Amino acid sequence: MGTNKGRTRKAFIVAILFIITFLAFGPAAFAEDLLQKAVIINEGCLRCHAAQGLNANFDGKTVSLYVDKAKYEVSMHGTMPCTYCHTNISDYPHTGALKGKELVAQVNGECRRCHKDIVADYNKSIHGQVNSAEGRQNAYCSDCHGIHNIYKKEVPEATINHNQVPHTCGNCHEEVFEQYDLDFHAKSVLLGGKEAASCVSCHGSHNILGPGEKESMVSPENTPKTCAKCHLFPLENMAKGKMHYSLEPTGDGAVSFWVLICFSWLVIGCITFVLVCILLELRRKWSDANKPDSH
Amino acid sequence: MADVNAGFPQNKTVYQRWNIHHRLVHFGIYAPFIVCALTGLPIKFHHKAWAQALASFFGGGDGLLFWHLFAGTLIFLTCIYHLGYSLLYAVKYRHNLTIPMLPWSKGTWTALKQYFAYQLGKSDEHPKFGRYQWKEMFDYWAVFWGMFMIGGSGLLMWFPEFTFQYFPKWFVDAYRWAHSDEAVLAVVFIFTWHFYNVHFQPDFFPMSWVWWDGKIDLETMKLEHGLELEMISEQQQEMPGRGTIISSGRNFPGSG
Repeated sequence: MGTNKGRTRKAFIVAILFIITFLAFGPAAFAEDLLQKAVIINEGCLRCHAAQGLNANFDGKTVSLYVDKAKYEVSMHGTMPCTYCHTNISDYPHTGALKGKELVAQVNGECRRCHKDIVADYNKSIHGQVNSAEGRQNAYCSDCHGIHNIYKKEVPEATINHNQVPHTCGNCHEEVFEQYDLDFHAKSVLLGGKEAASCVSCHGSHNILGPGEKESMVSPENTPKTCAKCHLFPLENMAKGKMHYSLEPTGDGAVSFWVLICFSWLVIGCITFVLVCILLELRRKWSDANKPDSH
Repeated sequence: MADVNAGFPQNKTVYQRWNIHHRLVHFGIYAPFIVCALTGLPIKFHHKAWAQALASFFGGGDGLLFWHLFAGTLIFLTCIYHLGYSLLYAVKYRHNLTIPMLPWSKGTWTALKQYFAYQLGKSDEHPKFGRYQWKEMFDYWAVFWGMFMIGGSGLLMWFPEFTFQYFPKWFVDAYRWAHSDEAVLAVVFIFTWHFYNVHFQPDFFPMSWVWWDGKIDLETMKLEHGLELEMISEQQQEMPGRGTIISSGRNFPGSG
């Protein structure tokens, strides 16, 4: 039997050991538990939803209910249970299942449960405003980030990867994509460049505002500063004229359009001329070679 | 080392058409030109599969631009070298200077008329060209024009911080279209016209070796530069570096 003091010390040591053991293995075990739960739940869901032909008929439209298991499992949310976002589904057959617009709205509403830090910026942005014609936000999280294929932006397949961003934005902004596509920035980005500007480099992402607003990164006041993120120092001329232009005989791209027309005819003219010369020379050589007295 | 020409006839008259400076300038233009074309065409036609493949070979969009600028810089250096050489040459021979590359130099117009009459079958008299044929002038001044169109716009695009102090965006946009369209013209022009003239035309196939050793034999000289040959015979050795006659020259191209 030790003294009172010795017993206290022993209890202290045991407590420390217990805490260390708990801290070392507890969270991992807890996470393991969640992971295990996700595996079990997702196995259940994917038993049907991993089948490529799984379709449903909603209001006369055939909708695919297929989820690419391999892609989902390596996505950012791949270790989370399906029901984490599809909160209203807990039974089979799915009594609470939503479809179409309601489904998209519901799932996108769930993002902010975890991604609280984005909410303030997004709500202020042009994409976060409710579009009265469509009765929904201008762009949901999933419109840019994807659904079951959400990856970090470093992953080449990610919709928000630097080289994929123009295509992602172009899903809605078709005309601007075509205009951006003429630009050198676009060419570099679409050929796999990392240094040139994609859409979000100039327009921002979650905090994106309409060009009419003063705080917008591409408002006339802020454009030179935005360009200077890459181009050393801000210049007034950077804000003058349209960044995105169409190749049309009138408007912002008029000069480029006519330069293109002139050069096209220059190419056609020059090459036709030299091809005619080559043919003339070959014809002369041919007829000379066929003359009986030659060589 | 064994003489590579052993067994070959050694009594051919050969003219030194191009000196080492001419040849270096030709090399300094054509080698980077090929790199510029290989790295520039994917930028113009960036949606094509071959463009993506070439881009990944050069290291994506950024690598493509690096090598494009690298090669472009070499072309600039070559042009400066050429202009400097030409200037020194002009100063050295200032008392008796003729510049045969100028389109109005002696015999150009006559030879041009003779050329078309001959090729159209209207005359059997072979055109007598001076030191440079109209084709070669065409090629040479095309590079000059190209340096302003492609090189000039290239510099403006390379240094936007400078450019946007003086030029509006529409100007640079339009100049960029000129850059790539002129470049396509240059590529198509070189690989049809120039390649026909020095590679594919039956007299020269597989190629005229002037670019390599600067030498041209008497028969070719008579056909391609008849007027120059006459002038050389009249005032032999007066202007060294131009058509200096080398007797008993070697005719094996690799030995120059």
